[in-house]
Amino acid sequence: MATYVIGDLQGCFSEFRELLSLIAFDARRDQLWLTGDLVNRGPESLEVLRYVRFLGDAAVTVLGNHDIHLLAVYYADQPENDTDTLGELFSAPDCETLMEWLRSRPLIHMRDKDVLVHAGIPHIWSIEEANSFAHEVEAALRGASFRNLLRVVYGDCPRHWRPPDAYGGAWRGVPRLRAIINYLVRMRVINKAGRCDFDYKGTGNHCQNDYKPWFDFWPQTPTRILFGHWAALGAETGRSDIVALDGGCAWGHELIAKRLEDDARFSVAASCSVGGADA
Amino acid sequence: MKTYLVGGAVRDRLLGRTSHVKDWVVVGASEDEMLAKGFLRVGHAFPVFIHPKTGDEYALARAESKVAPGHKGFDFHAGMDVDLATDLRRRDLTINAMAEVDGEIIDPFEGRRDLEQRVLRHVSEAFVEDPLRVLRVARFCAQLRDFGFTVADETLDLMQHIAASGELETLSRERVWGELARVLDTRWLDVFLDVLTHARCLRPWFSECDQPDADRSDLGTWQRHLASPVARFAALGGVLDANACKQFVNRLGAPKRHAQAALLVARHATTMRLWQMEHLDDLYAALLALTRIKPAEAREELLRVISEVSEIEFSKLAQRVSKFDRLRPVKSDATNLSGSAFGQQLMQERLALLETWRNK
Repeated sequence: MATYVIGDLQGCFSEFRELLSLIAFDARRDQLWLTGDLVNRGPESLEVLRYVRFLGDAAVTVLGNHDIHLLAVYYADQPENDTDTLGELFSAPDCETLMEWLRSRPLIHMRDKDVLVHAGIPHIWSIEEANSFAHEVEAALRGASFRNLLRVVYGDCPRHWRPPDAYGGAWRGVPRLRAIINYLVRMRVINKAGRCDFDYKGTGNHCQNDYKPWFDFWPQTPTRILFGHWAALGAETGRSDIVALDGGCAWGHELIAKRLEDDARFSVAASCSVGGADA
Repeated sequence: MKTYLVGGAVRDRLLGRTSHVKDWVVVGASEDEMLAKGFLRVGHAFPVFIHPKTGDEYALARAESKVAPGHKGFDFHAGMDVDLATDLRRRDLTINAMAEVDGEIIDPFEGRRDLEQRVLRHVSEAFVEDPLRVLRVARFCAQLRDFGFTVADETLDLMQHIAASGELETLSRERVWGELARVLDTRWLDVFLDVLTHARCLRPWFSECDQPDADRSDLGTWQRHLASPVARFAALGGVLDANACKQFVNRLGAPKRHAQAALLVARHATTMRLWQMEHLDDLYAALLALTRIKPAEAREELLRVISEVSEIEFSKLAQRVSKFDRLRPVKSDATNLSGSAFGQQLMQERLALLETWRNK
């Protein structure tokens, strides 16, 4: 029995199948963890969703920003972006089943000393706090008024986290949920106070002012954090307790898997480059 | 309903070769029966099902007929009435058209004889209906190189016929790259290109390799020495000039790492080979490009290619690039220099370093 964690799939179904064949994945004994962003940019979002759902208990995925975007388009009539490749999904006969399934995915998955999350966990929270905040969003997405949340899920504000006592009581409602989502599924660079810069998508080497990659603020963590989301990092954080897995497959780079038990790394090259070579 | 192991898995078992993909054909079953058994249907063109646990692919037995140009121009019929032999007949090569059930080999097209005689032979005249088969045959020659397969004369004739028909142009670049990627997993890219040359199939996809100045005579040696698919692809940069190489990787839509590596080799390998004579500026540009390759493993991979292509000893090359990379202005006030002045100073000192190497 082995657990494999695979980076952002973004509709790259053929590379996904190739990677599973490379690691000889067997759903009877192995576990698959996915860093989220199952859909969009790549050509076969529908096949990816169907297949991950089909794997049942053998696969765990956390929600990524593209997954939440898809839910917002489907359930809350939010506009699609020009670069979206979601069209085929909406006309599929099993679309609703897939959306209901996606809506009930977690934002964080924990097991023993490993935690799986799409973008990361800010240093201003403990891992346990992050997990309980994630549960608040999950409950809201599964609850009766989930459409209200998806309607306003976009927005960079609030950029700050408010400690529980700052407003003379617990901070509640949609802004709080949006802040949690922003940290867990959109964050890349952050400052010491916990403020995010959502415009930054670079390699993490030359950030403005006091912003740094979120993991740079973490001391050695007892719980290993596994995340995707940030392809420009080149799946490298320079440390073993925080592991980046987005190989940028949908951008023509690679799809990466790591075996949690022994850190073995596997990868397949993207089957095609989106924009061609200009280097 | 009956299930047969087919294709590559049967071939490889008979050859004593390991293969990790198992494809199955199901005879006498309907789509609904497969779904009821818990299979997942994938694929748009014809029904393929993924096994709920093993992940193996199961296809319903089908008959195909050509209705339009290109590899997608097929009509298929997958009914309960399609038998195994019909399904095997639509396959490309006799060695791939065998099935196995309960340890028994089913071989209607003498695939076993061709396997023993190491011949790649088409199953039927329907071979010409899918132009991708030309590339597949060349790919099998590379993959099965250790067993010494050759292409049957009649099959080579058909490949030339396909080339002349212009149908190769109807292929998508994803399919072409898919074949090339499998070749790059072997160390026999030169064999693949040689077979395509004999079949007159280098154009349109590998046109650049068909030019008189594209000298492939050393490509085989490089392939044998290089350890990764990216490196073996990048060795083509030692065959093609920079413009041809760019045209080539763009046409194929090569993945970024492959494309960048090949282009870098194409741009700079000649400069490196002529280390003594070239202008310092070119050498400087080449080394600077190499230092920008991150992470360290990717840089080493590329240095291995350049070392092969340019015939420079690897350790010497790696040492020089690393020294060039780590060089910092020695003046005591260097830390006080502004950004651009620091850059100027660094460039001067790096050029001076190159000068000393050139005179050695």
